[in-house]
Amino acid sequence: MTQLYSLQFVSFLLLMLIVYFMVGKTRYRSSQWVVLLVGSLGFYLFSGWENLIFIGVTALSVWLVGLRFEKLDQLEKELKKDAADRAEKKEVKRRIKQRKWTFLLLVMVLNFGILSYIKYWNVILGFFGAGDGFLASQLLLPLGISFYTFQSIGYIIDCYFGKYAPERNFARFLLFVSYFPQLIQGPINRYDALAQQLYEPHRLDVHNVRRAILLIGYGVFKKYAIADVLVSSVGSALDSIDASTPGSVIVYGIFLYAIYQYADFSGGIDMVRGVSQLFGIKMAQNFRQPYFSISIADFWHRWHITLGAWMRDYVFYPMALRPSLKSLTTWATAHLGKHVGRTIAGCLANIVVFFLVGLWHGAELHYIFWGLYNGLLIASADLARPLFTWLIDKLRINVASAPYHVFRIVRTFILVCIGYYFDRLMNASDLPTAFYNTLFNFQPQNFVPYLQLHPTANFTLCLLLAGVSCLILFAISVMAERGIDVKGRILAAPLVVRFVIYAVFVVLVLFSFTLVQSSGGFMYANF
Amino acid sequence: MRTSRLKKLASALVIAVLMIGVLGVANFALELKGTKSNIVWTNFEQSEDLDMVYIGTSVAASSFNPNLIDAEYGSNSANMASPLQKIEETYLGIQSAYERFCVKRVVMTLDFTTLQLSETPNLGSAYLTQRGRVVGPTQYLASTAWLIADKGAAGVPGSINMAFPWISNHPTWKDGIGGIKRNVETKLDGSTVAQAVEAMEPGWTYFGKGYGNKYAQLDYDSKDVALFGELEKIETLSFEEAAIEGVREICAYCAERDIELIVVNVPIPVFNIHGYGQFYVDSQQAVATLLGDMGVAYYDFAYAKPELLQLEPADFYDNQHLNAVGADKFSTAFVTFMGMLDAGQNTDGLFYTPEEYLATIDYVSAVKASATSAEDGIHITGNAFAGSGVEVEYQMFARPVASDQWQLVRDYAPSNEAIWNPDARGTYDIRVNVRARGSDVDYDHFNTAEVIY
Repeated sequence: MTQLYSLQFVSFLLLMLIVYFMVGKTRYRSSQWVVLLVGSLGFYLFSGWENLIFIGVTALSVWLVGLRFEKLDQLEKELKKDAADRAEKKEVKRRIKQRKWTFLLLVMVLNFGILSYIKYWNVILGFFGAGDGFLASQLLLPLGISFYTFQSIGYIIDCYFGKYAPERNFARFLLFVSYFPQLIQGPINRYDALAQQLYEPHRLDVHNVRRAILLIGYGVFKKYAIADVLVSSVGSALDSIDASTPGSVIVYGIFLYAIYQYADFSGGIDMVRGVSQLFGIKMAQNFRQPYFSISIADFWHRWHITLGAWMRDYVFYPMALRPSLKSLTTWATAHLGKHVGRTIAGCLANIVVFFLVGLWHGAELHYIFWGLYNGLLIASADLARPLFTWLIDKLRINVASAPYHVFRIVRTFILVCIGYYFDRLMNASDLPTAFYNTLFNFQPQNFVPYLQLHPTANFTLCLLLAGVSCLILFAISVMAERGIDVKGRILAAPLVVRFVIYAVFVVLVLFSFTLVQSSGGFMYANF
Repeated sequence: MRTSRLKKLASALVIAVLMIGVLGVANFALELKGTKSNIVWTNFEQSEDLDMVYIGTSVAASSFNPNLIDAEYGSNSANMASPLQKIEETYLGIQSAYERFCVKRVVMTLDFTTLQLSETPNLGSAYLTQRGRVVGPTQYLASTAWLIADKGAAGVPGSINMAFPWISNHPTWKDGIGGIKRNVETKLDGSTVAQAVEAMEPGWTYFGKGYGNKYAQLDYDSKDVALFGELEKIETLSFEEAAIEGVREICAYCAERDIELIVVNVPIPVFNIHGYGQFYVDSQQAVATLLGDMGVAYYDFAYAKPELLQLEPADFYDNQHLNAVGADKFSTAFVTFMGMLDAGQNTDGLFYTPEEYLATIDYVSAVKASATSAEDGIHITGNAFAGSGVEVEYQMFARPVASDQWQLVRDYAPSNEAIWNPDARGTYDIRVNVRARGSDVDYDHFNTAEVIY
C-alpha cells in the first residue's frame, strides 16, 4: 500500500476521504481526526505489524517526556513561588532544567538508539567484516523511521525550550507521529505547523481538492515520466565503474542522477503533500526549485527543506551558540581577523550539521563523505567570502546582472553534481577512479560504445521522454521561481487549454509505463 | 454561485469525456491484437470441446503441438500457455478450462525460474485481459477478486494501469510507427488474431488449437547466445513462498476435481544444461521434490533417452525454445510417453539420470566469450559448454571495432584465458574459437564480445 500509484492505495485513500468527510458532516465533527488516526495506523500496519511497535515506542516515550516537562515546569513555578530569594529561585531553575535535560537526553538516546541500531548497526558490523555474524540485526527498516523519529525529537526539543505546550492526549500525539502521508518519505513536519491542522475539523473544499489533485498529478508526472525512466540509464552508467569507464559516461550518469533524484524525491513529496491536502491539511514544503540555487547554502534552503530546517534549529544554532564556540569566536577575531571570527563558529557547526545529514542518509562511507563535502564547501565559501567580494570588485562584475545570476546557478549545479559522486557511488572505493576518469580519462569517443555495451531497455525512448518531460518541468519551475501560481493559472485557464495540459501529462505518464516496469517505490523511502 | 458550480461541474465532465476519448483512441491504436495470449483465448472461445490443455510459460507454448498430439493420441487438446505466464495466471487458465470444458488432464510446464519470481501477475497483462473478455465481467470478477485484492498485484502501478491494457500490451517500440500502423491495420482489415500475430511477428506461423511456432534455427555462434534470461543472475535454489503456494493451489484444485496433472520440463539447448552444470541438476531436483511433496510427478524431458526423444541442435529457435521441427519431435515423444503412462508402464527407463545424460554429450555445444579491461591489458576469457568427457582448447583474436582484420592474440591452447595489450585505447572486438582438443577443424564454435580499453 506504500506505492501511491496503486489500486490498493487509491482505494484506501478514497475510503479515508469518504469516511473523513462523512464524519465531518455529523455531530462528531470534532472527532474527524480519529478517522485519520485509525487510517494511519491501518496504513502502517500494512507495512508490517512489527513496525507498529517501533512507532508506538517513539510516540509513547516522547509523549510521556513531554508531559513530564509540563509537570516540571509547573513544579518550577510552585517552587519559585516558595523561594526565599533570587538565588534560591535561580537554584530551582537550575535543578529543574537539569532534570528536564536528563529526560530529554534519555528520550533522545532511546529513539536515536533505536534508529541507529536498525539503520546503522549492520553497516558498522559490515565495516568490521562481521556483517553476517550472530551480532547482526535481523530487523528490517520500519517505514519512515528516520522521518518520524526526527519529527518526534523536534517536538520534544521544542517542548523542552517551552516553545509550545505538550500534547496531553496520547491518541492525538500518535496521529502527529503516524499521520500516513508523511510516513513514506517525509517531509519532517513541525508540531506547531501540523498538529492543529490534524486535530481541527475540515469540510470538503472543492477548490482545495482541485489544487491537491494537480499537485498529486505533478508528482506522478515527475516520478514516472522522469525519474523512473532514467533509473536504468543511471545504473548502466554508474553501477560498474572501473578503469575503462570513460569519464564522459560518468559525468553523463551523474547528470542523469541529479535529474532522477530530484524528480523521484520531489515527485513523491508532491504526491504525499497533495494527498494530505485532499483532507485540507497542508504539510511542510520540502523543495523550492533547488537547481536554481545560487550557492550550496542556498541549495540546502531549497532541497529537502524540512531536514535542513531541522538541522538548523536543533543542531546548528544550539551548537554555534555554545559558550565554547563563543570563546573560539573571540580568539579567532583577535588572531585571525574579524571575518574569520564572525564565521568560524558557523563553519564548524555547518561541518557537523552536514556530517549528520550524511549520516542521516546512511552509515556507509560514501554518505559521510557526501555530507562532509557539503559541509566543507559551505564552510569554505563562508570563510572565503572576502576573497570572492574582492574578485568581483576587481573583475567589475555586476552581481545584479542576469548572466552573473545564471553563472551562479550553473556553478552551484556543478558543485551539487560533484557531491552526487559521493552520494550515488555506493562503493566509496570507486570514488578515486570516478574522479580520475572524469578529469584525466574523459574519452568522449568511447561514450557511445560504452553505452552500447551496457544497454538498457528502450534507452532512446526513455531519454526522449525524460527530455520532453524535463522541458515541461523546467518551464513550470521557472514560472514558480518567478512567483507565478502555476496551479492557479491552470485551474483558471479555458477548458480547451486545461484539457490539453491534462492530456499531455496523462499521456506522458502512461507512456512511461510502457517503457519501464516501475515498482512504484521511492528512493527516499529507504532512509 | 449555483451557476458557477454547474459550470465547473460541466467543464469537469467535458474534460473527463475528452480524456476518455483520447485514451480510447490510444487503446485502439496501441493495444496489440496479435498476441499469443489473444490466440489462446480466442481459440478457447471457439473450441467446442477440450479434454486436455497444455499450460505454462513460453516453453510450453512452443513445445506442445495439439494438432499432432490429437491426431496420434486421439485427444482433443489446446495449448493455453503464454509467454512469461505467472503461476496465478496458470491457475486461472486451468480454472477456466475446467469450468467450461471439464478438462480431464492438464499438462503444465514448470521451469524453476517461475518458482523464483516473487511478482504476482500484472493485472493488465494480455493473458488476464483477454481471459476477462472471453469469460465476461461477472465471471472475471468472481474468479479474479482474490488476485485483485492481492498485495503484490494491487499494490503496484500495474493495478491502476489495468484500466489501460495497451500499457502492458503494445507493439514493440523498436518498430516505431510501423508497428502501430501494422497493429491498426490488423484491426481494420478483418485479420484474424492469428494473422495479426503473424503480421506483428514475421516468421511465426499459427498451426491451430492455440499453438504457433517458428522454423528459425538458433545460431550457436551468435553474440546473443547466452544462458537463458535471468538465470544467469540466479545463484540460489530458494523458491518464493508465494510461487510455491501457487503451485500448491494448482495441485489442490486439480486433485479436488479429479483432473490429472502432469508436470513436465521441456528440453532446452544442450549448452544451457552444460552452462548451469550442477546447478541445473539441483534445480530440477528441487522442483521434483516440491511437486513430489504435493503428490505430483515431474518429468524432465531434457534427460529423455534417444528412444523417446532425439533432438538436434537445429531444433531450437533461440536459447530456450524449440522451433516447429523440434516441437513436433517433442510432441511425438510426448504421445509415446502418454501412451505408456496410460498403459500403466514404467516410464523411468525413458530418462537418463543427470550424470548419465551429461556423459552422453561428446561434443562442444557452444562457447561464451567475455573480456574486461585492466591496467595490464584486455583480459579475454572463453567458457566452452561441452560434455563431461570432452576436453577443449581455445584460440583468441582481437581487432578494433572499425577493422575487419582479426589479429591472433593466442593460438589454440587448453587455457581459457589470455591477456592482450593493445597499442592504443579504444573499443575492440574479441573473438574466442573453441574446439575439442586434438581436432583439426578450424573451430567447433566461436563467440565474440566487445570491450572498451
